[in-house]
Amino acid sequence: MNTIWILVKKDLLRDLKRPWGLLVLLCIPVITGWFMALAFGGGEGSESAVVIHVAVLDQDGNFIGGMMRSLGSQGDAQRNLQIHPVKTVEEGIRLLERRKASAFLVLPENLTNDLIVGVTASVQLYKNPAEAMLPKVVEQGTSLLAVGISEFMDLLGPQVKEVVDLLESGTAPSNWLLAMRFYQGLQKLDTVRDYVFPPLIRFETVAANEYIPSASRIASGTGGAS
Amino acid sequence: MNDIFTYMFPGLMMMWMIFIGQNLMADVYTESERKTLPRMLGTPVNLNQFLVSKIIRCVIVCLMAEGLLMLFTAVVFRVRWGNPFWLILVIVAANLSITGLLAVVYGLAKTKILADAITVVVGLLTAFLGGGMIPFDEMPFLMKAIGSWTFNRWSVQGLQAVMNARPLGEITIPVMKLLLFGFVTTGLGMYWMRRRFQAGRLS
Repeated sequence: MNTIWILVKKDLLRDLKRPWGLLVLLCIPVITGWFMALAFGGGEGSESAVVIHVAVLDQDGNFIGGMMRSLGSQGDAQRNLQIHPVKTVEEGIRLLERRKASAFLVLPENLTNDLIVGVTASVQLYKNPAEAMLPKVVEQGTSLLAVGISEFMDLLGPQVKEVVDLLESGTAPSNWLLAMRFYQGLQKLDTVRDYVFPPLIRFETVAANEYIPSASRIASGTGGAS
Repeated sequence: MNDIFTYMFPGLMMMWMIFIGQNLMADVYTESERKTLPRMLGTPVNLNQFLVSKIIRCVIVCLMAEGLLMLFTAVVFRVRWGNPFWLILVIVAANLSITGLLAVVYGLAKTKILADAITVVVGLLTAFLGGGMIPFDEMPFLMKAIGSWTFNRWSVQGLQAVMNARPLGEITIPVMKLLLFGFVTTGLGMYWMRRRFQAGRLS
């Protein structure tokens, strides 16, 4: 055993004298692992690192256009969505060509009015061909938004029309009128509450004696807590 | 990133230990080529002692290398390696199986160059099937079935069980597999290497 230990010691001392080969070999798994982690998992704080840049040309200049333009500054969207307002189609396409935007959305003229009167309207979406995923995300998001706005206008079209008319008239509406419009809107929304917020799962905390009818009898019979 | 790193790194580390161990095991033949082995055998050292010393050295150097890697990743990438006692147990068992596998390859291959080439293939293949390169859970059924029988997979299972503070049973099962594999392959490898040296086939 002593002989074996002497041989091992000799080899280990020789290794310690020239450790660089071993150290270089040790760097490789660290670097490989780091690259793999970056590739599969992104860097620290990667959840907020993905920002979708969308150029928007608002030719409507009305209620719906303003609502869509303001999406980028609301809720979670302000972390992951960056809206770039543009003034012409050429400007929007230039942003795509320079890869400054993943998609370019054109809201047509009279979009709000068309939706109010029930005329089919269409928005144009230019996708950046240099990107794979993000333009598809924008496309899906736009489709979802279009469905949402259509349903919203189906439900609250008259109220929106009155608000738009009030805004366009330039006169200050009375508080009573505003309150009435708001109340009417809420009443309409109340009719679709179950569809918009379906009660799929509901949690309730109940005492055992309320949940099991016999438990209360046991509790009262024995005099203990249930 | 830490989660992915924690998930992937043990497998990668084990893969690279094969390549580190390869250089150490190849030293058996380097000693022979440089004529230091015949000189050593001229002293009271016998062939068995020489081979056992090389195997112990391989286990120790791999252990040191793994220790350095774990320390580095714990400090820089904040990887939590878990209980040191169980960790050492797992990596010693894993190193024994790596050394055993290398001993078999260097004992059976006809030349050192062939042994080097086979080691690369075996190292990459076991790492791939054992989940050292791509996440094991995402592999197809057949690959998983084969990969479950690689020492790389057992090492990763053991290491991840320690890292995640799993029950003792989840740590000991892969350790037992590794130790069994390691002792059997080391024994076989030493036998074949000894036969080669005794037959004078030292190329």
